[in-house]
Amino acid sequence: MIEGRYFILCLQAAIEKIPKNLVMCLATLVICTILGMFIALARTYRVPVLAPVLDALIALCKAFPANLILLICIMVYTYKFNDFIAFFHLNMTIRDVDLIYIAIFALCIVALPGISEVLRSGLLAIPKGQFEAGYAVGMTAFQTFRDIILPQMFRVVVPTLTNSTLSLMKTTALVNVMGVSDILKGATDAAQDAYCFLEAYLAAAIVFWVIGIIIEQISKALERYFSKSVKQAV
Amino acid sequence: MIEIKNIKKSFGKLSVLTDVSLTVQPHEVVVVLGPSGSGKTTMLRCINFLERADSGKLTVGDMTIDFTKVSKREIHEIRKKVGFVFQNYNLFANKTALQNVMHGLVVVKKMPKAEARKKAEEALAWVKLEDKHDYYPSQLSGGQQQRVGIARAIALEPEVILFDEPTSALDPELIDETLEVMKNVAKRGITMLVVTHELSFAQDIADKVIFMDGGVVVEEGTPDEIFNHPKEERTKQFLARIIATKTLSKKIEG
Repeated sequence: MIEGRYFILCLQAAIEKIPKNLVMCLATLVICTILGMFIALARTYRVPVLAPVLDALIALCKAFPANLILLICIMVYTYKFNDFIAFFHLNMTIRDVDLIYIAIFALCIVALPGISEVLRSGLLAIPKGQFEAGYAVGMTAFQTFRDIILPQMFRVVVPTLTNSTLSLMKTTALVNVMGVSDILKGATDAAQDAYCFLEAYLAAAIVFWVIGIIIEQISKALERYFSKSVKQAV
Repeated sequence: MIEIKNIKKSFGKLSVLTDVSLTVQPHEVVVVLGPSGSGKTTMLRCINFLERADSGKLTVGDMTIDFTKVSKREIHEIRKKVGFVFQNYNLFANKTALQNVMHGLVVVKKMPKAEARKKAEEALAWVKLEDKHDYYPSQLSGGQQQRVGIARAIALEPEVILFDEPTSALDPELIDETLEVMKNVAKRGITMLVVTHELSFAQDIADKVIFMDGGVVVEEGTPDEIFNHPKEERTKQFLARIIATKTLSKKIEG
């Protein structure tokens, strides 16, 4: 049922697209972690106006299916691109912009609610005494957050953040609805001529599987690194 | 010197500090006694702005502030002048014993790393933990953690160190080692304001004892005045009860 030759062909096509998925996944993860941290802080410390607005936005974003968000983004983008360019007096056409940026933007909307919630739970897990100790030593709120709270937070959130990263990685396979090529699209494109779709799906599955294993391993190493302070004496 | 004048604090409708004033002279050890809920911990936390007092005045060294109109900057300055030892130690969980002591020196006092390390090592040696530099708080006993907490406070050389029931979270056997270190701190001439239930510490070390109840200072005086000749009925009751408990536990142990 599976032709080895076609499978190799599809696998090669899929592997070629790995950097694209990785870039989308990593860029989204970095942006979401930074933005998510601010959102988590604003919501935890109930910043007036901002906190309730963010509460509502997050609740809204959580409810949408990922591919719906991707579709809406690409639609709005193609319809509004010319207005946008005219507004900023830029000299470029829609072909000059790589769609991957739009994909990353859309993926951020998909992943942000989850990641900011993960970070918020990490923030809530740090005992109040750790903040107080920082203040009592004479550190500012920022210094306390940077040196004491953040490193402890990361220890708490690494396992859940890994989950978010994995599901984000899987979501990157949906971007072909926007016309952005990725691992899955690469594999199926290669299968077009020989009509060997099962081989293509299998090839894409194996590539995602290997990436998943690597992410897990990185996560375990990070967990070990951040957990050295809670290990028992040897 | 540290002086609190007419400090008031309430949590919602519950008034915790009705009107408290007290003075600690340089190199003096002042012990605050009182039953739970008498406001002694809250008073201590207000001095370091871990709790915000509603009104009153605070003087630490050459700085005087009014609680009703204090700026962030002033709060920060006061905190730098005041050391704090917590009931549950509150060591930085992500830092080793040495780093716990060093961190404030580097970040707050802007000391070069090598100098800060030397100073932190001295402070740890001083609380007899020279062999625990690289241990994380989770690897230390309660008594050891509290001694690191004390080292962290003295290394910063504040004008006064506030002790918030430093031994009440410890096992009886670990209380002594911590009290021993605190006695050494007192002998060094460091100004101390101590909230504790350890009457023996108050008797041996304190220059002044303050008895608080219901958010006011009921009585203050030398240890001899408070323990041997208390004037107020409330003080007598409190001391009688604590002494009764102590005798009872001695009987059980003996």
